[in-house]
Amino acid sequence: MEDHPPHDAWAQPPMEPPAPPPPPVIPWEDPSRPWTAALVATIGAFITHPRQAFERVPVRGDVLRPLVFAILVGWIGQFFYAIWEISFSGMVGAMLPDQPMLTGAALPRGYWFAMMALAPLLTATGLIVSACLSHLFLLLFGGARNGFVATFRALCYVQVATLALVVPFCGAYAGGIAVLVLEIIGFSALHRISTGKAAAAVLVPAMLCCACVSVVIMLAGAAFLSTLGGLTP
Amino acid sequence: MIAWRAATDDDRTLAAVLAGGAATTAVLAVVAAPVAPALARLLPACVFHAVTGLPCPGCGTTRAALALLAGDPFAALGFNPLATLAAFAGCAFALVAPLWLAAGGAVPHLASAPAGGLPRGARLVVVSALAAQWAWLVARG
Repeated sequence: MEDHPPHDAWAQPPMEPPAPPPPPVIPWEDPSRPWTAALVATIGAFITHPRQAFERVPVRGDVLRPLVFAILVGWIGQFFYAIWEISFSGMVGAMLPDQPMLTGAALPRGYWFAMMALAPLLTATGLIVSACLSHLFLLLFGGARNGFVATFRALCYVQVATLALVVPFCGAYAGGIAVLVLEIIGFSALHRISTGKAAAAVLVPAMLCCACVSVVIMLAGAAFLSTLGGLTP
Repeated sequence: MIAWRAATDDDRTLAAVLAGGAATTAVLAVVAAPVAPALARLLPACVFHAVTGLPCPGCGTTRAALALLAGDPFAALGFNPLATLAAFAGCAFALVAPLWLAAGGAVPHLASAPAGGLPRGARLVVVSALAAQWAWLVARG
């Protein structure tokens, strides 16, 4: 007599839909791509679809690659910012003679050349400091689910916002707002937390520590716009 | 509460970046020390203080930095205790961390922390420190 297995053992398992493939990593994290094409594609992805781009950033792994990305885009932004300051600070300083520091008119040209040269080092240092501060507030709000490396990687790609400095005059203000928005999206995506929790971790330190800086930027923008309005016939 | 884990390549890279950043900041501080007071005078005043009459939690950081550049850490502590302590802690960490990891040292981490957050006690310490700093700045005027 043939020994058959019980009937249930022959039963087909219920058909499950195949799991969707994970989204590909962002181009900058793909070592098979040439770095220039990857840089451009990554910048485009973060500018056009930041949420999807952050969701494609690996939570763990090499920190040097995102750091190099941050240094490159930070350098480009700082380069243009220095160029605009050297070119236009005299003109803007004449419009706002009471605000020499805000218009950059009080600073010698050598300062801006030094900033251009030191931008990579200052970007790296600033990233470490801001990552420590951001991670502390993520921990306070219970949002640091994927560790310090995830915070650091998110902040590296947030540096895309410094490319707003390529735009003269209003680039710094737009960049400042873009940094906050991208930080919220980045922390939310990389730590897998709600947008509200990420916003709290980003905005509370900004309000606590940089309230004065934010207000100064707004007042400077308002003064600049009102001056432009006054010049309009 | 604190557990130890083996260091990874990421830890070593971060420590190296931190050490490089601290060294750069130190060099810049030495180079910029003669002109720092003049540059600081050009900075805009704290608008929060101007509007409310109270210092913001970050007030005094510039004066603390200038005091540190002038070699007066006690005055710096008076101007902004947390920023000064953070500067000292950061410098010490930047100096020690790469050497510690190069020697094969393990990395500490909070083992008993809830997912994504600090233990209640640590959270209380951080919030208390921030509140105490602000109270100190308000009392100092």
